[in-house]
Amino acid sequence: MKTATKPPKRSAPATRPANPSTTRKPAAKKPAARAATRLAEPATGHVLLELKALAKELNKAAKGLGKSGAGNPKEVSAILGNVERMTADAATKSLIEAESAKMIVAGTLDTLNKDWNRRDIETALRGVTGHLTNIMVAQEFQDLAGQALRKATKALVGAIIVVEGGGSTDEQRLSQKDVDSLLRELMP
Amino acid sequence: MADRTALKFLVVDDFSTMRRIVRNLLKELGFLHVEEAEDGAVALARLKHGGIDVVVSDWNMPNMDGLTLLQSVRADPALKHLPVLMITAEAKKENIIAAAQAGASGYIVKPFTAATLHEKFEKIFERMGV
Repeated sequence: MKTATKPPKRSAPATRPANPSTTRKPAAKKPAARAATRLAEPATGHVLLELKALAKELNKAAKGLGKSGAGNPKEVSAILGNVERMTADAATKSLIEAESAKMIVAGTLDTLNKDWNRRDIETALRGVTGHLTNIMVAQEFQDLAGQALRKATKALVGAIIVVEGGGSTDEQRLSQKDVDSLLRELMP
Repeated sequence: MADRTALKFLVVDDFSTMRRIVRNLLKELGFLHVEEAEDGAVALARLKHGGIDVVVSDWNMPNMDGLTLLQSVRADPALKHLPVLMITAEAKKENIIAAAQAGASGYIVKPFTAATLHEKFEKIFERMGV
């Protein structure tokens, strides 16, 4: 009778420790096509809440950068990439909210047909529109932050460091006033 | 005076958020005909098809940057008349000089305000006679 021979012991396959840089973070929420359902919400307040949430996320990301990013360019690169994507999503969402609110304001202005205090209502609504415009313009941070993040990523992975887009020191950057003066000299 | 709200704009920037901001600001000023391009190469191809009256362009973009786009527009007899407004984070003296020498119609540094954009467009329209 043959005795069963045990197969030779194999050492357990090495398991890689979880690598934070490869761990997928949950995908950022897509800018929801939910504008239609938010018509009734106070749009300005909602946008400000979104911006506050974004500031919290950025703060968290910055802390994560300090803890785990030091000395590991790949991790830093991933974190920075996530920040860029997150800011893009948040900016898009904010803009959708702002656009929906502006549609409400435009619709309200068009249908006003009561004389009671109409001027005050119209003035207030136009004021809201102006405020919403400022919220939209404030989203420029995403562009500038994105450019800065790309430069940081390039620096961290040892690529050519290109001084571009906001890379100059504050002393070298001209203000809009300086730009206008210089252009008047160059193109009288 | 021609109806300036019929003007067609091409907004060129590799950041979709910035294109969206400029589009919305143009809408506030009454300009509804706005197309977009994500870099200078796509923009130049679109311009060669015709039908665009004003170009608003960033500087730093992949494939073809804004300065090269401007130079290409000025070198093309069919396009050289087009107003090109630069909106860019590049704010060093040499950048302004390079843009002026290349024939930029205006130059706005980021971050900018809606009022600045309006002011620069008014200057461009004055020169266009609209």
